[in-house]
Amino acid sequence: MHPDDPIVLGFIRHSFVARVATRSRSGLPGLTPLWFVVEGGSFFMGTSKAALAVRNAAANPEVAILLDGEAAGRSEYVLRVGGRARVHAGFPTWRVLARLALKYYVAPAAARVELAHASQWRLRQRYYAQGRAAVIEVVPEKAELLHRPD
Amino acid sequence: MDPGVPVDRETPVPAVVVVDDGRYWFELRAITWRGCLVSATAPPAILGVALSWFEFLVERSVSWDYATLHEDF
Repeated sequence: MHPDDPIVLGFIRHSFVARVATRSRSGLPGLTPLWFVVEGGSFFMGTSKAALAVRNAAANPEVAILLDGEAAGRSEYVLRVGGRARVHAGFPTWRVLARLALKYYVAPAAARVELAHASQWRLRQRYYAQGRAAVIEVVPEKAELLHRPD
Repeated sequence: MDPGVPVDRETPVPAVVVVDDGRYWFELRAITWRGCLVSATAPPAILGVALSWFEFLVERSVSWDYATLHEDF
């Protein structure tokens, strides 16, 4: 299945958390749930430079992204997108940041959660200040539907 | 996992299991187990169903729950 297939685009539109499968230089697996947005045909995931997913993607760029499409209800399939990763130090571009903000902070459901935890915003800021930011960009190469285990 | 990967007691396969939940920041929580897979005997109750069974041997785990973010004094 091509990454531009309408089924793939539907999973992207209805997924909030991507599980990013990576391998270390020695081949050990990693699986990390990360927020994501798609910009210009690539997946972008922001995290810490020290995160396992970042270290693995830098060492071994062949990665897989699993999407549930959970906002559309439980499907009998999971989408697996295979692609090559590039790691960028620092924050995402403004376009990617804007997409992340719209999806995870400004959308009505997101804003309700944010407001309910306003007393913890300062702590979150300090939590993020402990590490250096990095972005994993994944250029999708192939996609396939996998039967979800019962 | 790739069904073509040979798994037996002598050649355990490194594996990760993740259970995660939540969409927005203060809802996000997860637990991750690292370990390895070895072949296992199918439970008697489901004999006859064509499934391969594995035992996941846990070596370590990490968990987080952002809603519980707090400061220790």
